[in-house]
Amino acid sequence: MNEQSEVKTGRFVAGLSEESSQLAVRLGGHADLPEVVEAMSSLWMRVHARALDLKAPVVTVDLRPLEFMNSSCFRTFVVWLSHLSQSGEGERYRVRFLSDATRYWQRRGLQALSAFARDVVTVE
Amino acid sequence: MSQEASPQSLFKAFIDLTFAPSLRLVPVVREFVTKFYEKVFADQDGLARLEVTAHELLENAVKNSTDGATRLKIDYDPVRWILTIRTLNYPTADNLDVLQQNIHDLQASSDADAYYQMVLARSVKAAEGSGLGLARVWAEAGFTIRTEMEGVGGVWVIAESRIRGRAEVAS
Repeated sequence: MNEQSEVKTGRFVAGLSEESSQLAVRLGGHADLPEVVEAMSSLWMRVHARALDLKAPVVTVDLRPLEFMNSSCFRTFVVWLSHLSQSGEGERYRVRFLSDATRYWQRRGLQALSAFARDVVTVE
Repeated sequence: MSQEASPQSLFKAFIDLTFAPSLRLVPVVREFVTKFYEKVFADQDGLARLEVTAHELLENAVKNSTDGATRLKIDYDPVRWILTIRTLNYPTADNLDVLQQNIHDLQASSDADAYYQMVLARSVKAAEGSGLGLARVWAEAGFTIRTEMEGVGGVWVIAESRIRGRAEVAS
């Protein structure tokens, strides 16, 4: 069964889809306003809970359509990944980022994130 | 916005803009300056670094403004390929202390990536004042950062980097 839902806040959009134990999030638009920070924080809490329910081994986060992200929105990844890194074995899954190498901020930001949480992050 | 001729009669791409400190205006200003410098830079990564730096400095300036105004100055030297981004605001004494401490720590660190990792870890517990925006400007966007005081209580945050320009800008 394939389930999909969408979060839209101003110029930011996030699509969440799942199929059996596969969970994927696709971000697009601009993540640069306070309400987007709130939306992203809520999204990662929801994704985390769902990943545990599904016993998902990997959550895929596709950043390729995302044009810009400010540091406050970037921090929501840091909080999520920090929590995940500190979780016990049974509550841990990997986060696989899909990135657009032509977007400088994605290259450099994801380098930093993968160094920050190297035990749970992969970047493609 | 204006264009000024340097002593060598080269065009300089110069922006001086003051606006009400609203977070909603920060993306608007960021996109304007990015579009403007698209015509100036030959380096797409340089343009992306400008975009990140302008946004983070502006957001800090807006959040810490106490006088109803945020000022942005961007100056590009087409001869030396030096881009300078300045924001001016009048923060509270406490916020000024936090800013000065963050910039002092950043300048005292010899390793931008290690400093960025330390700030990422710190930001998990403290959203405000963690210095994540400035760390991003330094480590991710590759700008140096310093401050200069202005009048009574004003502070310029100044970021500088070398970005390759288009030949026609300096011709």
